Amino acid sequence: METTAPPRLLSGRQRTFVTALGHALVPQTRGLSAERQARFFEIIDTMLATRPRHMVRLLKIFLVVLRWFPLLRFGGRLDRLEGERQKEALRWFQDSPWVSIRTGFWGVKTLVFMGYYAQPDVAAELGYTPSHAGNDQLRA
Amino acid sequence: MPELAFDVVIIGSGAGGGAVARELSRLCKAGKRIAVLEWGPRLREEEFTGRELDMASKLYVDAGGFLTRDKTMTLAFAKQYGGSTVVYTGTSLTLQKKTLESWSVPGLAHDDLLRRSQKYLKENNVHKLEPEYLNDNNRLFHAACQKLGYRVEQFPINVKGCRGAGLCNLGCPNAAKRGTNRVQLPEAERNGVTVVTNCRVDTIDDRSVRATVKNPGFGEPSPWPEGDYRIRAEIVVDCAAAVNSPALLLRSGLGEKLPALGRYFTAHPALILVGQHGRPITNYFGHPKSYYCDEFAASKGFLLETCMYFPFVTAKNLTGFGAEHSALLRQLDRLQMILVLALDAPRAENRVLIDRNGEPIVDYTLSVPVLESLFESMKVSAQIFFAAGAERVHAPAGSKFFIERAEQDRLDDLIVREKMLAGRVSITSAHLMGGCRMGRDADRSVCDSWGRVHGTEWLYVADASLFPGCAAINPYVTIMALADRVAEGISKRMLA
Repeated sequence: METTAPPRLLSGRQRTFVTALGHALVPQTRGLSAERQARFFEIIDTMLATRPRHMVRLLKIFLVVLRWFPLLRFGGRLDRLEGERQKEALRWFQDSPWVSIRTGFWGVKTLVFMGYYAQPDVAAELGYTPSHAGNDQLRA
Repeated sequence: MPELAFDVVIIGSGAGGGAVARELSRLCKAGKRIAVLEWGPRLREEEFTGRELDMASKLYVDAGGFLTRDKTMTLAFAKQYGGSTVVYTGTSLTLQKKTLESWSVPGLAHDDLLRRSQKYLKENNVHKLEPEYLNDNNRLFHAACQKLGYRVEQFPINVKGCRGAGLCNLGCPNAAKRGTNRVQLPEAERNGVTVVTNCRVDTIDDRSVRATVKNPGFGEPSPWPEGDYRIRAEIVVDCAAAVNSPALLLRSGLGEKLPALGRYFTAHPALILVGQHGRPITNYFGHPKSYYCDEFAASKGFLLETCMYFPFVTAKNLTGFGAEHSALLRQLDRLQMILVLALDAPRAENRVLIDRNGEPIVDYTLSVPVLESLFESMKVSAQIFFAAGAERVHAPAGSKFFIERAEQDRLDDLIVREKMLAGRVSITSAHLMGGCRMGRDADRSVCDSWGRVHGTEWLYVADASLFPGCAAINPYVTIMALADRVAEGISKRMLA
């Protein structure tokens, strides 16, 4: 699993949108090096490759909804909305009265969090440096 | 297709399968042939890296993110030599008498279950950790509960040589946790039981199973060559756990004569809550789960436990996003964590189904009482965090991302029921129960109190799917006790 590259399940356009979404959900993703950005999508692709095809299809449909629906309600595509307006749109998805919209948003958000927070280097930056001999640290 | 024959085939090697395998292994001396067929691999010791995504992908079904049908809850269950005993924290409690009484299983007595449970507590080296091995995350919870007058108890845990890696849920890298992979399965193998890993049972037929061996590319290769198998057995014991046991029986065509099959699934729906302290605390060093508080089990339907999770799991369990979310994650070494378990009532409509390919679907609706319990637990947990000295708290149903210390008197205003929505708040479960519940007859249950499937004398179930309702505690000891009982019944029958 660590040696073979996963299949690219998101198109170039979808990747561009997920990148923009990442900037809104995890501001630190704005400054990712090329290597870390590649790892971000490698993690996402690996996870999607293990999921049933219909789930991946649902995700892709939801990415379209997430991108375009704010045009109707907030006056612009999600990735073109600025600052507070974009947050407002994202909060609308999160707090939506429709459970399928809430779960769709939760799924996309979780995927973005996975792409970033599951990177071992990021864990260390958060102050998370576990040790197999953790009890020694308790006594230190 | 190769055909093999055994006297007993056990499907699954977790708390249930491991216990049955070890108990029945005594029959190997009498010439009985016993096989354990485990879907997952046997990892090499060096493969327990403690890296979050790496281990989640190798140990858990769907990397720990198996979704319920409406996608409002994720279920974490393992496939691995040792099943979910490889990834639990080892907290070892025995079933309360009142819970067993609520199950109303004719012929199943609390004394019997307790006696069997105590056998496993002993052989799994269950004990309470010495105070010097308790980290701040645990100590703060204990002190705060005491300050608030809440009943709080220390968990007995099943470790030997624990070095406090704090990675229990990712498979102990120090081989300290006494799961079936460390205790019962090795003993069973020494006694002559064959354990076949990377072997998925597709269907159960009349006194036989059809299985497929396929290696995943990590762990030890299966002892059997890859391919399809038909395995005959005088007795088949389904120990594939609460999702896959009912799914396997449904796939095998037993649904028509057993209307309760797959139903009454319970899950202890859980929340992970965090409070942020003003200084670093020891939280991810040391065993993660030392205390629990059952003060609100009867009155509000939830248990509180200490816990400590990893960066990604923590991130996904917070509600919200953006700068505040990132800021909280960047204080990981200052976070105190509480796991809330809702004690969900068994409902016939919460059930395991199969799709057209025979794969399991868990149709579970988060009921209003469950959502109410989880909502109330946020307020209690916030009180505990503040009593422990936290500067601010994140409540998933908060009207804002952080509740500051200065606002602790306004929890009723700041944590709002309208925000406690399924799909908005991240809800998970690792205690999966029911689906093959024990009971008197085939109309409302699947198995009798000895785990025998109604109307099919050669087929048994021995795992958490037997539970008629939720356990209201961490369930593994009860699973082992029930499996012990199932094994005794099989053993008597085979020696008769």
